[in-house]
Order: sequence, then structure tokens, then C-alpha cells
Amino acid sequence: VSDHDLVAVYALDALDDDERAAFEQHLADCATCRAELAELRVVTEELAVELSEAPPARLRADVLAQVARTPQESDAGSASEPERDRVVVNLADRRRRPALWVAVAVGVAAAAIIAVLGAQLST
Amino acid sequence: MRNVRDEHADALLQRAAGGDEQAFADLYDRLAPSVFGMAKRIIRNTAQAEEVTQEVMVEVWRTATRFDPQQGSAQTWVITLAHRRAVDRVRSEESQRQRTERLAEVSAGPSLSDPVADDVVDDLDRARVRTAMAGLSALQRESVELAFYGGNTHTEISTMLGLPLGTVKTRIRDGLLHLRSLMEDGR
Repeated sequence: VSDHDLVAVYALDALDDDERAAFEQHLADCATCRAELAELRVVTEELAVELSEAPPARLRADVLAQVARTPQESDAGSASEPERDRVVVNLADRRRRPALWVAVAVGVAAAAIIAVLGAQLST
Repeated sequence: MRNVRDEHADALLQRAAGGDEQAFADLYDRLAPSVFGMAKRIIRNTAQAEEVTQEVMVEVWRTATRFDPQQGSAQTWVITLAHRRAVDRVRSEESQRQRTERLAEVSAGPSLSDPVADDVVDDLDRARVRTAMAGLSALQRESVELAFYGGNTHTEISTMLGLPLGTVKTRIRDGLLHLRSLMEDGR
């Protein structure tokens, strides 16, 4: 079964969680499917707009109050995007590297001190 | 691609991504009615539709820096997120029995939203979407509605209708593509 068949089903969110995850992997590699999805989203968007109904004013106040105390993701914080994931991992690695050097340096220094102390004790 | 893109909404979302709460409030006014109306139709519960609307709009604020206008409009982004959230809510919170009842209601009931007096959407837009829906074959419409408004998976639809999965996939795809051309004709 070709994944291409699933673009429309995906556009309607009619896949279960596992199928959705698998299709999203396919989507990342398939420009044809991404283009078709963009076309189909126009349709689902129209279907949604057709259902528009004014929400209660209270909800607006609640949302804006919550927004006022909700921090936003920074650009690098968008964890769901694979490319940015890699950036985050790389940055984390880079941050870890100095710590590793420090540990190695401390270890070497400790070994030297022990060696010197050992030499002094034995004489 | 879309004929009319709400570039104002794109600009508002980009300003919101920079922390502009007023821009976000304006974006809310533009997009929350679609989110709320759609969530209410899918979930069939006003209180839960309000919760989903709040979750979705706060997430839009929180993740606004991810918005990339090259990938699609702000409205598409928000509605895509909202549909998924509404569908996830329906799937996770309803017992199978309730769902079955709701499915029966979705299949038997009027195919589009009630014509309540509502100044949020242009009547012409509404009529255009309704006309397009009416232009689908009954079989295409049934599958599209069970998925979009019912929140059912294609596997569930295949079981409900007693059809092979491949047939359901084809009907959904043909139905959406047909809708798209009918909507364009109606412009």
C-alpha cells in the first residue's frame, strides 16, 4: 500500500496515532504529498470557516489572561521539528564538551598529584 | 492554492511570535470563531469546545515562533491544529458507546451546520461551501463527513460502512479533490 493514498485521510485527521506518525515520516521525505496536502488544507479550512460561531466573550478574557502568563517558545525551542531537534542536540553536545575537558583535566591533575605524593612517600 | 489568503492574519501571528499580546488578541478575534464553531460541531459539547478553543489558542501563542508563512497561512496553521485537537478530544474522552450514538447522529443529521443567525461568516461563503458539499456524490459526502465532522479514523469508517479500507481512502480523496474544484467554481 502506497503512503501517497493517505494524504487526504491525513488531511482530515482520519488516521490513528501510529498511522499518523508513520505518515508524517513519509511526508517529511515526499514533496508530492506535501504539495497535495497544501491543496487539500484549503478545503478543510473552508469547511472550518463555514462552521464559524462567535465564542463567548468570557473565553476571550480567559485566553488573553492565560496568554499573559504563558512564556513563548524561543526559536530553538520548537522541539517537534526534526531539523531543530538536531540543532538542539548539537548545542547540548557543545555545552557538554567543556565539562568533559574539565573532567579529564581534573583527572590528569589528580593522577599527577597522586604520582608525586606516591614518589615522595616512597623516598 | 487559495485564492484569498488572509495576509493580515499572517502578519498578526508573526507579531504575536515577537511577544505582541495586542496582535495576538486581534488574531484571536479573527480565528477563534472558526476554531470554536468547528470544535463544537465535532465534540458536540459547548463547554468542551470552549476548552479546546482555549488550549488551541494558547498553544498558538506559545508556539508562534514555529509559524512559517512559506509553509502556509496562519489560518491554515491554526485550523489544522484545532481540527486535530478536537478530534483527539473526541477520541480520548468518549466511550465507544457514546461515539456510536454520535456517529449515527452525524450520518443521519443535517450535513452542515445549523443556519443560526451568525454574522461571523459571510452568508455567501457559507452558501458556497454548502453548494460544494451538495455537489459531492452521496458516497463521497458520507465518508468526508464521518471523518471531518465525526472525528472517525478511516478504519472506523470502513467498519461502519462495511467497505474495504481502500474504498474509503479513495472516497475521501476523491471527495476532497471534488470539493476543492467545486469550491473554486463557486468563487
